[in-house]
Amino acid sequence: MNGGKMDNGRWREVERIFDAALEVDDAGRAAFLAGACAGDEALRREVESLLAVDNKAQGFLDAAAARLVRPEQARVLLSATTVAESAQRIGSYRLIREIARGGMGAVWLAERADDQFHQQVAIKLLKAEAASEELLNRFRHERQVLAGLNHPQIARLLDGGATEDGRPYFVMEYIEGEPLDEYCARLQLSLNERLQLFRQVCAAVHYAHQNLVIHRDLKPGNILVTAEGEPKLLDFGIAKVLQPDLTQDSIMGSTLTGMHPMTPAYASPEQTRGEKLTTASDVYSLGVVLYELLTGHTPYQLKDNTFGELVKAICEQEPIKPSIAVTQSHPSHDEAQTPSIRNPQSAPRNLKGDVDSIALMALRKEPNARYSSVEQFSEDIRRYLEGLPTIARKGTFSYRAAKYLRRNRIQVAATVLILLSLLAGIFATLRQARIAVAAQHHAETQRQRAEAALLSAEDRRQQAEASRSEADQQRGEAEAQRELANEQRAFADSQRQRAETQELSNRQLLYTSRIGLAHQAWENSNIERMRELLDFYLPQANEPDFRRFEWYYLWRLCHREEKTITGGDFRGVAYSPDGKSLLTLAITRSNGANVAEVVFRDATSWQVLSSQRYTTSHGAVAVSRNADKVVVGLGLEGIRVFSFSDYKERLQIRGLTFVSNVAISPSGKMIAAGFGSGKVQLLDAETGKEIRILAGHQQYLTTLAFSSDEQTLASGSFDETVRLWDVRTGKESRSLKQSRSVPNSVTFTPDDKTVIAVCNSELKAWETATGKEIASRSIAPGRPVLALSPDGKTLATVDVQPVIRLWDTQTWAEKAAIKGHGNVVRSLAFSPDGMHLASGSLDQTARIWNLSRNMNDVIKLTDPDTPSGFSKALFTPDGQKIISAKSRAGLASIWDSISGRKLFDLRGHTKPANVSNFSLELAVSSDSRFIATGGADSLVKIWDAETGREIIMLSDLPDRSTALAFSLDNHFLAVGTDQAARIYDLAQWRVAITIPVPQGVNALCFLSDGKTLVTAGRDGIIHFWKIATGLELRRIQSGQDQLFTMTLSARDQYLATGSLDNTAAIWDVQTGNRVWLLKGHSSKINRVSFSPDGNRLATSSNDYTVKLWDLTTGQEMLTFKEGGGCSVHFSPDGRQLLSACGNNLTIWPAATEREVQVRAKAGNRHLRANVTADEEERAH
Amino acid sequence: MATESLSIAEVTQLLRAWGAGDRAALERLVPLVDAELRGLAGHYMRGQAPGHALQTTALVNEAWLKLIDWQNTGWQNRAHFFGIAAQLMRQILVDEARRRRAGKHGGNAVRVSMGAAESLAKRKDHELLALDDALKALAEFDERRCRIVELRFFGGLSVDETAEALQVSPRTVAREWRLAQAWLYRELSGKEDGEK
Repeated sequence: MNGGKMDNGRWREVERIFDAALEVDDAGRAAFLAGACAGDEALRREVESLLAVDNKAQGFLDAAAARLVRPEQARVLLSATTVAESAQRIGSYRLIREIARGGMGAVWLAERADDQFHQQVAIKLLKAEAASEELLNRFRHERQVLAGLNHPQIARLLDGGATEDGRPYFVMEYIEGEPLDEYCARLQLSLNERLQLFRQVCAAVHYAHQNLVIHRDLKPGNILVTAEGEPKLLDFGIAKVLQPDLTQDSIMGSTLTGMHPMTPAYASPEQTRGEKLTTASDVYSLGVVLYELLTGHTPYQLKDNTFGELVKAICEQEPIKPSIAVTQSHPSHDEAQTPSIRNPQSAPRNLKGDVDSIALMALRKEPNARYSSVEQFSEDIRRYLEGLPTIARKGTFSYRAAKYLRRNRIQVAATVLILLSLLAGIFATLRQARIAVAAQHHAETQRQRAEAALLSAEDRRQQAEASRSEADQQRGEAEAQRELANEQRAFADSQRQRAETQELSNRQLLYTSRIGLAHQAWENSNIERMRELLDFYLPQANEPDFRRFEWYYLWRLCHREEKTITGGDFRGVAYSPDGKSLLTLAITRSNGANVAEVVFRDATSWQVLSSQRYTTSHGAVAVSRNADKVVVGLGLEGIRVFSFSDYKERLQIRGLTFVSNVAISPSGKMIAAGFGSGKVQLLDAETGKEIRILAGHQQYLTTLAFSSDEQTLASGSFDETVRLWDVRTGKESRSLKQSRSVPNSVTFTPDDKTVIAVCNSELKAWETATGKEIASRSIAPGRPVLALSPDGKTLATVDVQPVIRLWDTQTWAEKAAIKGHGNVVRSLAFSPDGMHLASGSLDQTARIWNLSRNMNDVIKLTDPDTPSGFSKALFTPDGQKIISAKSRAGLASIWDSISGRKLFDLRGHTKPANVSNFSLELAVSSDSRFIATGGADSLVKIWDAETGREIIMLSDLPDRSTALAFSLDNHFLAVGTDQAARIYDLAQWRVAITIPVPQGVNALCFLSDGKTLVTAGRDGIIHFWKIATGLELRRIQSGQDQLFTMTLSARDQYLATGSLDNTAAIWDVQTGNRVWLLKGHSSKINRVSFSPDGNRLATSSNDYTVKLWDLTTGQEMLTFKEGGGCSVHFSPDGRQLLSACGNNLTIWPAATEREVQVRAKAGNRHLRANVTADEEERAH
Repeated sequence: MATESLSIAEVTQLLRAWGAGDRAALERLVPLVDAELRGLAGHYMRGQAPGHALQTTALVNEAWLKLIDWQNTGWQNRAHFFGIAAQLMRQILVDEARRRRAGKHGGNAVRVSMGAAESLAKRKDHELLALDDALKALAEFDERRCRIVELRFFGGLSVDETAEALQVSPRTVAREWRLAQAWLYRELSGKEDGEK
């Protein structure tokens, strides 16, 4: 500090003068200071120096805060306490020493920190610059594939991730060994030994290729040979993690950044060009490795040995034949190579021919021209080693011929001309002979010469023929090659199909787990996450649609609002008294400042009618019930009054201190304003003039409300009281609250008889007149808000969990819980007709809920006449009705499935006194017209489903009925008992057959042929009976304990059973094989139901849950914990799941595809017009 | 996560213990806030328009809000609570910077070069510690001004909120903030220029 130690007194002086000097303009400032400091030079200097920096200092702390207190930094800092100790550790590994270091980072020897037997590993630790979220994601994706590579010659990838400071690392099996080339050189291996070793390398690479992994960076340094002489491949697939798609990042660019994982000398032409890589690229790299093993050189002769030159050579230059290369020395490469590498064991003559061809075939520029697989490459080396003809050698002619033709069309034409002239020469010789005979001169000589010429012509003809047959042979070979190629393609195709099937199954598993996560997100009220998870499976073109019941069910749960408005932290929502418009007040940030945006919207079209902005970060809204006015409190910006008729400001009240809350009287004449200090002020809503002050609260005022008669004002404050004030006198008439929690929102019922408040963790109601507490309910803590429906019957509250709860104000029971917001809800308002609720949230949305729809997660049907005891329920096949059973009461009922109303009670069974375990069985005919019931009274009754009248009673059963089923043609009714299955012929009303089943029948069904009955019971065996004869056709030993329930999927494809041993099982009816054993329930399974599409099975269990299973993977999809337990049944359209238990029939509804599509299309547009029809259809 | 099983009451208690000087309580609190913060940060990031600066302190405050039952803890009000949170933030940041400066000199073998990022981090640590020292000096003769800076800088509170927290008028806060800013600016730039 200038001028020595500052003390408080002196500082006050500095402050006083500084503040005052700011009011004086620059010109007068010096004079002012001189006067103010009255000769105290030190003081003057102090103030001057502060004034001097004042300008520059403005905003500097804000800037510094932005720089020094950033979110990601804070996060790291907050978790940083754990960083220090991990310095020498990565994951669960302790670093021992650095093994190698390169452009990408370093390789460390490490061991498991928690391991007793000290397994050593190698950790590749990348540079910090390499770390990116994308890279880590890629790694996670690849890791599973790589972890599956299990081959003795491949170093295993054990683990990987990112260090605390964000550097990626890979943990690999630690291999002690030396690079392949050095190993060969040191031991001076022979050509054959080198080739043998090389073939082992090929075997490992081929294995990886079969597992769809390409190495991408094969080189001697990545192939270590152990002391036992075993080659081991390192870094498999890591190149892909580091650089998944070369097309996105050219080799030049990436090499410059040091990110590129490929080693240029071993890169294939397509790799250097950044094209798509295939297994052929690994073939090429292996070719380079082989070439080096054979010759001690890389395949190309370079002058300057620059990167550019190398790339050019790789793409354009033909490699020198190994047999020639081995005799040369590459002047440019000598320095670059480790001397020991150049130890070519191979004499030129060994290499000439086959070995040359093999190496060069692997090194061909065109990927298609190389060996089609590493296996073929390796196989050709074997053929060479065993003295068999090689593909490469055979292939050389056609490859070269094709190449020759392509390059030298003119030269080929010239060759043809020479051939023609040769033929012409033959004719000329013959003519010469004839001339000789005629002349009789040197006849013999001539003749001999002619004959010699003929002979030589014949010779040539034979030669020509020989070469034709050679050509034929070569064509044959070429064809064989083509066949081979075809075979290989077919193999590749089948491999691809297998891979595709596998991928689909993996994706189904992923889907299953995402559904699980979405369900979990729902339970945690993390709606945003849930939507994200579900949206991922909205169908894409050419992509399989994984969505089934569970997806639509969850989708409905998180899309129940009618409208979403976005844009800011919605602190206030309010409907106009006529319900035609909606006002929202949202805090947003604009140019670094908080802005409150007041927006009026049409409540049908949601068009913005008017909008205003104020610089404040606070806002509260209140509407006058009977006048056209709305009042907005804006913190330090004061108060505004708007009219709903033109959405304009009618009144501005400024110059107040911090306005924390507002209220307006129903008539719109009076405004109450609450302040940060706890003060309450009554103002005239026309003039803004103060009427009176209501003093009493000591702290921040949280809430205000006028009574309907405008006589009373209720207020709440941080001082933890709710107070009632006499509006006319300004006197406090009552203090309502003693308990220690802050009232956050308060209101009067329309009849003014009750005051309701939500406090920190409780909901309270008092009698206005007496102050007597009427109700108290605990709610989740937070800053709750409330809204009362205009009729006063429904209270909406919302707390820190963003779940809107609707309460019945008569009984104070919770009526509904609405989830949908992703964060704290700050405001609530009912529409004047009580049909809609608007909610504004910190999640940057305001949402409109149509309360006339069913807002509950599930639909619950209750029986007003006999409230309890539901034991079973099923849909009729036409989906119109639900049939329920109450075992204890012996009562079945018919319900309308659309309205949820009970239509008829079917009373006809009575529980015998001596029976304790009583079960009422149900079955519905396939035409939905008849209902069969069977009880412990040994009676079976058939009812008319339309009228609820009993049609017939079957009283000849010797025993209680345990199961019922109609045949598909409704010709038969099968009844199971503890000893038999009896089949009634319904056409003739007689018993068709009684099949003795000593182990009892717990479940039965007809196959669709109408000729076979299937039963399951105590013996755990599924029996198939021929109806005509009663003989057992076949049986399936389920291996399960007692079977309690059984059902068939469509077209008799699968059978599902549920057992006492808590398992369900799926059986292939044709083969009798078990497809899945479904484990997950913790008690007996009492009912199973297939979804109509056959993709899902629902099970209900005595553990009081219903579970949904995926039948493609056998995985559990969802568990419904509430309302389930005694039975389960899919609706015929597969959109609803029905369960019965205790006091309720429970229906879990799913959204329709149309609803999803409409929403997807509409985006944020209003949906009411489009969806209402659908919604209403399903609203029970 | 094991940390998430702490109840609201326990968190509240820990926070109180910390307020009463128990440093061990902070160690238990930090992972909790961190976990909450990760969730919130992600949440905000998704909802936020691009280029929209995010206020850490607002985030941290929200995180605390979710963690504790602040209205039932004996703090007078929300602003008072955020005053505590601001102090906590200052403590955490400064401790961390100090620890880092003392701890990591060279010797760490794992380090591959961190280059520019590291030197930037060092500079920030330096700035933060300098500010902390200056604030301490300020507190010697003007406690309230120091609190204003703390609330605004580390607590991310607005002028209004700061006023609320200190039970003074926003005008007072704005006025005192101005001089505080000038004074700190002079102090800090003076140190950098090596005048003192």
